[in-house]
Amino acid sequence: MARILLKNLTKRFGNVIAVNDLSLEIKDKEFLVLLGPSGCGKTTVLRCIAGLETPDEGEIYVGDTLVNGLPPKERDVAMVFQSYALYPHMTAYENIAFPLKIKGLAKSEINQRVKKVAELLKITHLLNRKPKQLSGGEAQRVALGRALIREPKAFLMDEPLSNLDAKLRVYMRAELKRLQKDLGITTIYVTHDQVEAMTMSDRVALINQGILQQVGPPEELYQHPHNLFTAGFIGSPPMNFIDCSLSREAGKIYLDAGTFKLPLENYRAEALKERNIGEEFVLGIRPEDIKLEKKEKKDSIQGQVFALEPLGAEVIVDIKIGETIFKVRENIFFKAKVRENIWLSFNKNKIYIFDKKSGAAL
Amino acid sequence: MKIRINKKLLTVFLTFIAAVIVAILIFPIYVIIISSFSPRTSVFQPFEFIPRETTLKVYSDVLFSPTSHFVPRLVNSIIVSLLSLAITLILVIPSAYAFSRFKFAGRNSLLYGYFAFNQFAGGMGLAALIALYAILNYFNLLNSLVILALIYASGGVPFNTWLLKTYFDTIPKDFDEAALVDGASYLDVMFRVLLPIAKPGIATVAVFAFMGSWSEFIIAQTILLSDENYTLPLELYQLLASPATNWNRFAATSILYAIPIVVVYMLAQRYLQAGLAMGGVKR
Repeated sequence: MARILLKNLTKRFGNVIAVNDLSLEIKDKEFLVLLGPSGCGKTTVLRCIAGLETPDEGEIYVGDTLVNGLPPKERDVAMVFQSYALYPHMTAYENIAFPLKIKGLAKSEINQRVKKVAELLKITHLLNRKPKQLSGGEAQRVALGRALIREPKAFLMDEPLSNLDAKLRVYMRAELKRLQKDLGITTIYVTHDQVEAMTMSDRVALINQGILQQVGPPEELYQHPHNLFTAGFIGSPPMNFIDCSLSREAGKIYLDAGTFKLPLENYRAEALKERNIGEEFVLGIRPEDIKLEKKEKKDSIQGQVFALEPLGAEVIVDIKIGETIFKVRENIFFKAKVRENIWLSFNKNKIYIFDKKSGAAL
Repeated sequence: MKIRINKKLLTVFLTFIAAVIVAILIFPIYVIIISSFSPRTSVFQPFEFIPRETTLKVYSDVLFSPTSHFVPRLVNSIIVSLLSLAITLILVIPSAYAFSRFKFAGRNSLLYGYFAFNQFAGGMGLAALIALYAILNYFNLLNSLVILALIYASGGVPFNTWLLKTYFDTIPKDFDEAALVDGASYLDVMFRVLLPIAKPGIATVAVFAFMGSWSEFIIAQTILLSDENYTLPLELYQLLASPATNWNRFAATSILYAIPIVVVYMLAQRYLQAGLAMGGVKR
C-alpha cells in the first residue's frame, strides 16, 4: 500500500513521444484510471511504473522509493495484463502460487495463501484447471488472484475487462471496484472506455498524445472540462460542438454559428468582453442540456429531426441545424418524425465555450 | 454429370499412380524386412516375395554372437548422439532465448551469419572436411567420440538456433513480462515459463540433433580411425563392404539401427501434440 508519484515522465520510441512530461500523483489506496484513446501513451505509463519500459526522463516513486533503476521484481507492484498472460502449462493454482514460489516461500504458506485468495475471488473450484479450460471471466479472476496473492504496494491493470463480453464486463466493473475498496490497494487502471473510467475511478487522468489533459474526479471532468479534448472524450453521446465567431450587436455579445446566433449573459459575456469581433470559438453543449420544443420560443433555434435512437429509458434525437448534427437526450416518451421541424433551447448555464486555437475552456 | 464421372475416374487414376509410387518406395524396405527374417544369406537368388521359412536367428546373431560388432557400435552411436543432443540443447536454448527476447550488440550480424552458414555450409562440405581433418590431426584430436559429438552439435547450432528462436518469437512477450512483474529473474523466465511453453520447439530441435548425429556417416568415417570407436552407420558400411556380404545380417542390423529413429519420432510427436493444445493468452 503506497502512493505512486510520477515526476516529469517522458518516454520516446524513436521519433514518437509516447509520454510527454507527465507528472501525476496517485494517492495511497486510490483507484486512478488512466484514460485515453488507443495509442495515447497510457499503457506506456503503466509499463514504465512496472519496470517493463525505461523512461527517457523523469522519476517514478513507489511509496518513498525511487524505482527508476530497479528491475520489475524489486518494485513490489503487481500487474494484470489485457491478455491475462496466464502461464498455459500451469494450473490455476500454480499460476496464482507462482509469485510466491519464485520468492521461495514454504509450501504450506503458499497453500494457505492461495486458498485464501481463491475464496476471496470465488475460484476455489477452478484451481486444478489449466488456463485453456477457463472461460474469459474465470481466467480474469485467476489473473487477479495472481496479482492479489503478493499483497503488493500497488496494482497495475492494463485494460483487464476489454476481453470480456459486455454483460460480464458490467458485472466485473462493480466487482473490481468493490474489491479494490475492500483491500485498499492503490490501483492504476488503464482503459480507453470512458464509461469504465467514470464508473470505477476515484480520479481519472485523461491522456491524449502522451500529454496529460486533465486529472480529477470523474464528475469534475464531466462538469468542468479544461479543454475541447476532455469535453469531447468524456460523456456518451459526446458533447455537441459547433464552430462560432464572436459578434456584437447593440452592446450585447453573441456567438454566431452562421445558422444561429446565441446571446451570451453574465460571466460568459464578461469573459469574452475583451475579445475581438470575429474571433473564433467552439460552442459546446451536452445532449442533456438541450430541450426540444415543437414550437418556436424566445432564443430557440430551429432544426430538423434527422434520426431517432431509442435506448429503452431514453432516446437520443439527432437534430440537423445547417450542416451540423446535434445529439439531444430526451425522455423515451418524446415523439417526433424524421424531417419534422423542431426548436432547440440550450440551458444557458450549461454551455461551454472553448478557444478554437488553443482548445482551452473559457 | 459428365464432369462428376470424370472427376471420379481422375481420382481413381491418381490413387492408382500414388499406390504404385508408394509400392516402389516401400519395396526396398520390404526386402530388408523379409531378408532380416530369412535364414538364407542371399536375398535375390531366387527372390521370394513371401519367404518360405522365417527365423529370428539373424537377430540373435547380430545382437549376441561374439563375432558381431553390433552392441559396441550401438553404444558408440548412443554416446555420440546423446552427447551431441545435450551439447546442442545447452548451446541452442539460451542463445535462441537471447536472440528472441533481447537486443544486443552484434545480434543481427550473428543471426545473418548463422543464416549464411546454413546456406553455404553444405556446399563447402568436402573442403571443410579436409580442413577439419587437418586441424584435428594437428591437435591430435582424431578418433574421439566426444570430438565427433561436438562437431555434430556445432554443425547444427546455426539452424537449430534459428528454428528455436522462431518458435520463441511466437510465444507472446506477455508471459515474460507477467513473470518479471511477478518477481521472476530472466533465468526464471527462461526455465519456468518459456521452456515449458516451448516444449514442442525444443522437441523438434532435439529430434533434429539426435537424428543428425545418429545417421551421419562421412564425418564419422573421416575422423574415427579405429574399429572400436565406430558408430552404427560405419558398421553398416563395413557389413556391405565385406567380400561376401551377409545380406540378412545387414538387413537385421539396418532394422535395429532404424528402431531408435522411430521411437524418437513417436516420443517427439506426443510433445508436439501436447504443445498444440495449449493456449493461455487470449488472442
